[in-house]
Amino acid sequence: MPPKPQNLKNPIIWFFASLIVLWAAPLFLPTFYVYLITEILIVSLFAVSTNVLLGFTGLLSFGQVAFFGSSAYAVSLLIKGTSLPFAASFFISVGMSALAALIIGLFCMRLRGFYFAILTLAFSQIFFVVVYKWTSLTGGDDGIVGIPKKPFLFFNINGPDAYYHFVLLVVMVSLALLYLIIRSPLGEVLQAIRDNSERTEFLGLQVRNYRLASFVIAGTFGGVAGALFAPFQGIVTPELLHWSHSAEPLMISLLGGMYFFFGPIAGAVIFVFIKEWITGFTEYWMFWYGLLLMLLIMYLPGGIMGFVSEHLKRGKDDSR
Amino acid sequence: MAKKQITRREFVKVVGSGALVAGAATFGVPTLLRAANKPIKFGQLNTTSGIMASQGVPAMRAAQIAQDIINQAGGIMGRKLELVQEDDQVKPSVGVRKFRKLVLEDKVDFVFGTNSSGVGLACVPLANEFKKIFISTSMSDKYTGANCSPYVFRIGESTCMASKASAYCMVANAPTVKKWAGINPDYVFGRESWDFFKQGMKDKNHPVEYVKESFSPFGCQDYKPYITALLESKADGVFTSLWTGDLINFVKQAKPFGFFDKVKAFVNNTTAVATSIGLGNEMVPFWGEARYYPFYRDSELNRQYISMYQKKFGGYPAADTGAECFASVVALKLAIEKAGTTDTPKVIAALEGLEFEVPEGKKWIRPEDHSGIDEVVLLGKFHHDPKYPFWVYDPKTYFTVPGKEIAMPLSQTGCKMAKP
Repeated sequence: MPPKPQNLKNPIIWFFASLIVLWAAPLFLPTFYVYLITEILIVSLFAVSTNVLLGFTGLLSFGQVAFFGSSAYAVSLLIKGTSLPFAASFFISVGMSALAALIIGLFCMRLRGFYFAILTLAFSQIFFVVVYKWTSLTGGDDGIVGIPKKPFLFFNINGPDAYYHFVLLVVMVSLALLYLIIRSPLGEVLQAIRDNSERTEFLGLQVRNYRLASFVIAGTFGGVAGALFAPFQGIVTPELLHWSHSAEPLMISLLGGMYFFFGPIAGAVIFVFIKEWITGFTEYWMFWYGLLLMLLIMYLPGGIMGFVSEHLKRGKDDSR
Repeated sequence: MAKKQITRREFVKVVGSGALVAGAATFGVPTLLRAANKPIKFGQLNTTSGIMASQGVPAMRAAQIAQDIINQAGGIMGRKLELVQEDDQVKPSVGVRKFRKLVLEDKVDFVFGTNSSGVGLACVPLANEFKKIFISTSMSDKYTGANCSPYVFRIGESTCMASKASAYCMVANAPTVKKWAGINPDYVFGRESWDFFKQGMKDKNHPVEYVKESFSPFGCQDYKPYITALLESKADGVFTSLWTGDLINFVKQAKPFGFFDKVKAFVNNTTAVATSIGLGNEMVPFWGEARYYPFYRDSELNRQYISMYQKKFGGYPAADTGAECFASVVALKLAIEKAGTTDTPKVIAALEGLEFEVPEGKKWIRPEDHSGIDEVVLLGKFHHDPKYPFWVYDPKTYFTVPGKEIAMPLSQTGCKMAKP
């Protein structure tokens, strides 16, 4: 049985405190780490959005890259191929992800469990093949290279610090929205569906519609992460859309603790750092990551956040 | 909130500048003195994992040999040369990350490398952004084409040179083969290769028919559908730009079909001995073009390169990308000495028009588009020679073309070089 989610006591204070601390981070940190945190923020958003499905609705989707990747491609094509302002390109791409999630979701919601996972995988592979084969539009295997960071509305976001601040704002606002959704009655229903979908159905709730809503929410915010990622990396390639990339946010959620809203964020921090550090010593970083994941699942099934909250609880019990 | 933020910023600034003053007082003077003897750092990106590692690992080693030769002779202007090597995993996205890491974290002065043009071309925008010289050891003509950049050089033979030379060689050695087909990797290098091969046939006014063109995914595991399609097309000649792991897989899978008996001419524009080593006994007699072939040129430097390589790592310096990495290190060293500084714009000026010797022969960097041009481009047909543990070119089949003859003419590059 998943643990009951722990609410933050003062979410607004937490929000602004972390925003301020993170906003000031480039003052202390070398540029290389500013890039690293930017990546962590984007990966966090992607993982948290995926976890809305995995941890809070109980749906295992192998197709989340479809929304992340197609949004990354859409924003790149709009930035490079049109004179639209970046803000417009950004919202169009996110809107397209939401629409794609709605359409794919309508098909996938007919299925459950294993079949659902495989169908989402199949849909994401369609996106992959289209991008891979449509060389004249997408550059095929070479991808789209040299995506500039155009100004967002009146703000210049070119340069590592400026782009970091832009990503920070977008990610923090998105996470706040997702947090509110999870804490809302909608979020409660989703968690009820996760715990027992039959019983929820007997309560007279349209389980399928709620699942669809969850799928669209995850796809939309996955799209936000993708639209942030393309200008950050400056390049998009088909591997972004490959189904194996879908495993990344799932592993991150498991690592961090999928029953906790902040679990995937903790997972993303560790994932990105491990990737960056271990690849410096060995090409086999995936091996070490896999090993770590295995140990965590065997000994800390609740992930990092599960461990932490367990510890905090125990601490409180002791003090009582 | 705004007020709070400013105070925080200011607080940090005060603390930061305090630390700086303290740091300068403690370390300032010796640091200044040390700067002159600080090593010069070259960052290298090549592929040392996955099926393309058999090109990338020797590429890293070749650069280490160049480093040893230079450091043993006193370094560069009295400063030691230090290599920082990173694996790009043949993925453009990884290449970009590593490029950024080399520049920002390792603080390298110059970057060179890449096995795949897909990775190298992805790094070009970063070279421009960071204003760092990037010497590509992969082959695309796009480095020096319409998007050429003052910071970007392609040190060696281009796709155009390798593919046209392959066509010229076939016109000379297989004139009766008129039905040609192509199997190429589905990315920038494969597509360019096929176009330039056809262009080469046109240059020679050789009337041929193209009966099949196919592009397989990079890192493809199953070539059987492509092999049967090629055989069904009844082509007499097949041109390919599959390289290393891909080529090895292709040959292994094509052999049981009797592919190499049915096809009269099979030519590859990027075969170093790495491929014949990889295939071992399963090697077949086909034509190959190599950017570096260890047994062709008899020069002091080539002998030194091979013997140092054998002593340090065992075996031959088999990968042709390796020679281009060696060449990149040598070119940078010569240019830094010529410029008398590691200052980027001055080193760029020194690289332009540079002529230098490397194990495979003489190279020249064309100043207008930063294209490296080899003295000669070599092809040969593989055969079994009991003197060597792997198949080598039959010396009787050596076919050479002067690099200047087959380099893309300046008028066609579309390059308008900007000032750094």
